Amino acid sequence: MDILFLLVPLSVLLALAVMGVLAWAVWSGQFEELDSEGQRILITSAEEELTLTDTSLMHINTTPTIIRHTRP
Amino acid sequence: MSAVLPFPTIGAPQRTWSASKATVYNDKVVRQFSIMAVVWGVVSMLVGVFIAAQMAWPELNFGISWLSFGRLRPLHTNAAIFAFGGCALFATSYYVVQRTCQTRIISDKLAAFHFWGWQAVIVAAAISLPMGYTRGKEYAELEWPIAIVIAVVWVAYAINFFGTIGIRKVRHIYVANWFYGAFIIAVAMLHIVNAAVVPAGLMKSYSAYAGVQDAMVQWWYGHNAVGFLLTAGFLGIVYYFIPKQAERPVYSYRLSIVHFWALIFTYMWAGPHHLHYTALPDWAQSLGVVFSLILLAPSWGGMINGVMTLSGAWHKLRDDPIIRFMIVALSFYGIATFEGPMLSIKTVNALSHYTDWNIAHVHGGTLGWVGFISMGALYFLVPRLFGQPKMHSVPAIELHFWVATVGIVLYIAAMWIAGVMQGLMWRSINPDGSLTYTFVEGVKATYPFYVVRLFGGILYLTGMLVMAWNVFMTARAGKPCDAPIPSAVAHA
Repeated sequence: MDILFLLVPLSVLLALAVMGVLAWAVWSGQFEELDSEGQRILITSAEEELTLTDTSLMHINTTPTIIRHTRP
Repeated sequence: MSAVLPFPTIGAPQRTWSASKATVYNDKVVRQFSIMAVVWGVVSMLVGVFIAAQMAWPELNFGISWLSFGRLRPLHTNAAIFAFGGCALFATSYYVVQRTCQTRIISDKLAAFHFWGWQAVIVAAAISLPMGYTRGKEYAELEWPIAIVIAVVWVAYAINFFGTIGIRKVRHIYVANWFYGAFIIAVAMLHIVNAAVVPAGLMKSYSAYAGVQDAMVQWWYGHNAVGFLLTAGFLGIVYYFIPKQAERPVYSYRLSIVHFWALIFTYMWAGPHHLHYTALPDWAQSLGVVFSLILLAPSWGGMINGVMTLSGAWHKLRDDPIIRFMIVALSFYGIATFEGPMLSIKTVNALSHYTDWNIAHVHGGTLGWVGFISMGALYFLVPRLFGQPKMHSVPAIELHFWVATVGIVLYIAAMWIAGVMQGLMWRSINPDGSLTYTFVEGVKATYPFYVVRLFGGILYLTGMLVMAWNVFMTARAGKPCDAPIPSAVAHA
């Protein structure tokens, strides 16, 4: 079972790295205001609102050109 | 009158993108991977149907070496996991990381390298595997030159993904990105360790490990490939696309964080459950049993979190086939993560190992969980990527769902029955101590179940073909579109 000489230290290092990342997350405030963070992805920005009703406002991924949009 | 929109829209030609000055996301790479996910989905399932037919009728290899089952099986598994699954993960991760960080990806060039590099890997696999070049390690068959390309492409992906998080405009890193991040790091580590070889020719090598130690490394890799590629990565999809499609936040954001940390810690230790009653030491086997059982808790926590996101909106399951794909995916996730720990118990494993029960387990997890959540996410993405309000045909999504679901049920039921039957036949002993059945009698008894399974697989493939048609029609009706990045930073 010599492979253990590789796997155990590797696993310990990995566990330490994982704990380090968790510590960073806690200390840098990743887990503050969790309720609003869960909601955030559902907030539609002003730009997204407009593209949902008028998809011509979405950037057409062809040759970039200068396009001016006017609204009535 | 000039443009009166309050934000910069399609303005000056933007030939060189600096992520910080970009006004649109790079959805091109999302589009590329999304389309190829559908293409490789069809290909991988087609190969799967073919080899399932060969299991029932071996003459279907036509005496041609590159059509033989032994060579095509890894083509099927690699195509399904890395081509289909991989492209779905890359498409969704690039979509999610940009939007949750509110920035374009840090490097378009790396994204392009990632896409084309990955397609090259898939093509290399499609050529080398039928030619018989294989390392013989499950889900790690590709020979060393291809393994090197995989590692290089993976590093490019990691730099792009984590680099984008590094330049995020939002301080909080949304939970889905943690799952994607863990998937990326874990797969890098697993691949590099398990692909360690001594080359002995351009397409020939020998594992750096030997004997049961090689087996342990292989199944540490194999199970964590399931845990981090096929689970953690796709949970990233769950935590973004289900709330978006359901228009409700994740049921418990706190639980999602606990779920993440518990899952990634426990998964690493479950690998030995692939090696019960082999030469692997008993203590390692027992470790695998214990952690596999513990794993049930975080897995089901995540499933419940995802399903309960629909709390107060269950009617959507009735009306929206896309959310149905996603929620049913989680149901299969729950089945697979209950079945898995059960199969990890040594007593159960003594019956199930080497039988078709394992195949049932794998395909409930892949067709049901991985397949369905990918399909749900792709149905969400494709219209948006092509500036369409919805998919070309919503009834076609319904059709896909039902045809595929029936296919899965037929598949796994057939293989469950076959698997238990095989296990019982193999262990049946006559009063005088001799075996009741020869091995080939077990094979013969399995024949009808192979036919039913084939039919289930054909149904699943049919569903995928319906999806491919629907995606093609949606793309054809629309135009490739990149979405604008909210300029919320400039506006209150």
